[in-house]
Amino acid sequence: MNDASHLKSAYQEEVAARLASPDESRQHADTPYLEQIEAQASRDIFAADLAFLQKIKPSTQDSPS
Amino acid sequence: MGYAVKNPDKPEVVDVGEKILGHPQPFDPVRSGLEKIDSWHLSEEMASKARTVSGLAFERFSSGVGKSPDDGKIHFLDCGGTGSGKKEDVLLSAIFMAEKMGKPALIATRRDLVEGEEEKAAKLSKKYGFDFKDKVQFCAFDDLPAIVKKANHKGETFSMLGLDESQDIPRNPAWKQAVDEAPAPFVVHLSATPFNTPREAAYLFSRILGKKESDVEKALDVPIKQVPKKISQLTGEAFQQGSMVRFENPFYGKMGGDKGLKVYPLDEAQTAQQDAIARHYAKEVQNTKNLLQQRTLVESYQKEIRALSDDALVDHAVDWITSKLDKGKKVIFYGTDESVTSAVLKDENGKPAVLSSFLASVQKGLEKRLDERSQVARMSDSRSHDKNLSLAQEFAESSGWKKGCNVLLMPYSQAAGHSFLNQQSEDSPSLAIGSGIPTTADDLLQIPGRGSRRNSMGPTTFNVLSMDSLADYGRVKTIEPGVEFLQSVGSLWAQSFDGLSKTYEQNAQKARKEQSAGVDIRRTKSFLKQPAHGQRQAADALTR
Repeated sequence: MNDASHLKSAYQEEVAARLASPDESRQHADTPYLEQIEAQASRDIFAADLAFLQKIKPSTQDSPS
Repeated sequence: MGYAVKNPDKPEVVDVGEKILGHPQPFDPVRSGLEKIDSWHLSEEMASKARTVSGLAFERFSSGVGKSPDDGKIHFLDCGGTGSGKKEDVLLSAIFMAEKMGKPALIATRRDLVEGEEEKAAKLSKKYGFDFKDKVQFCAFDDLPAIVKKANHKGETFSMLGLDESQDIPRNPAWKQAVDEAPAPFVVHLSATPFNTPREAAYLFSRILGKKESDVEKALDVPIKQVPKKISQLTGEAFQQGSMVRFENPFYGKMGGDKGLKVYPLDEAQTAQQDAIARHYAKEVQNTKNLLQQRTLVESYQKEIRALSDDALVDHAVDWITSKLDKGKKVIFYGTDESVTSAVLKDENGKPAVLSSFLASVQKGLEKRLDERSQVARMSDSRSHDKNLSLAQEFAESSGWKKGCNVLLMPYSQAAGHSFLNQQSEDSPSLAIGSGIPTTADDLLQIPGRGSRRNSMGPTTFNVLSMDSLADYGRVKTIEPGVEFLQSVGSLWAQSFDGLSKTYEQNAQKARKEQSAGVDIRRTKSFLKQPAHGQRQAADALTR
């Protein structure tokens, strides 16, 4: 598996885990469903990105100044 | 899916309920007594569609089933899309019910719309020769409480209550109470966005399904991720019961290849850049336990990884646009409008690489490749409203593809505006619409809507272009739940994006296979004055 495929499958795993995770947030009666659904999806993808960055092998080079 | 335009002046509408589920009992004008409407000399398209809606409403009312436990009335919802003719539907229903029951009907709407409703009724009355004056009264929602109180005091009744923009009713307790107490056995609700919020959904579903509002509230009180499934279930029930109808103006277009969603592979350099960005931010994130710092880092990572993906898409977008111009079409293309300075990638001078705005890069790419026959207009979030408007108008007013402005580049933020881009003249040039993966599901609906309505020169081609990148995978997954919600309320256009991420992954696999097999996915067309070459700002950037 090349680097791109490896990274992508690692990312897909994290996204799948987040989307399948329980959603504890309460509905807001007067906020459009679409807005609430997309906000939840954004939170899930953000959490997946964080988990992905915490798991993959980091760069061995110094950070830029 | 695709719809041919038979006559641009007579837009067709599609019965969504029938298309998705089929109505339990096909409407029979003789059984309902609506055959009389034939003598009103309505135009063909109005008679057929408005008669169907009036007929379905009347069948629901005359069945006697589905009374709301909260107000004792039978409700019917016409949730046709914008411009599908709901006002004609309710007017016809009102006149019919008034004649049938010998009592006037009352139509209420927002105050700013009352005058328009009356004018529309007068126009239709003059055109078709029916008299509504003693049969239909119009009022504003604000006046409804007083009118209901007076009618109840005098013992007067209405044959039917029509509520245009009905989704506003549950937001105002006085209006809601007035509808509950209105002396009318039947209610026709009109709303193009009927289940927009939990409060509106609980109100309208409870009324049309004949269920207690508190019970529907409980049924809808599910985790937000389960909402599309729950709404879909209730919408299906309403269609099956015949208490709801939805007509929709079709997208007068066709999906381009790959089910509308094109996915291109990253090349070796782009893959290395993506890898470098991800591993750089992985190192930063793993070096801190501070949650706020982690949050900031993920936000920067997302910006950078998305900008890189958009940068990789530039050449493909330029190819796609020029291929459509080659076919004699004008093009509207949507994308991001933000430049990002990379913390990882360096330019040839060793300085942080600037990943230019996607649309600006596409414009540069086009200007290098198109000949003098073409002009490109690019709207931008950083330009004034007036400037953006004049650019869009310049595009709309350029009638031919061989001269004038034939490419319009628009940021996603402009997707929902500029209705004048809907081409309506008979000599409008043929149009193609393309886009990156938009930010919201609603944009995915709004974008193909621009220019596709009544495009008289054949169907508009629509494609979403994306990269097989981490960023675009994340974007697809972000908008997919919203697309599922729009499907659940009956949007036919959203149905065509069923299984969005599955399609994305299938097309990405196909692209990777083609790349491995050495298939050249770039095109060189006669229209181009020079061969394609890279426009990516960071194409030669060094990865650390």
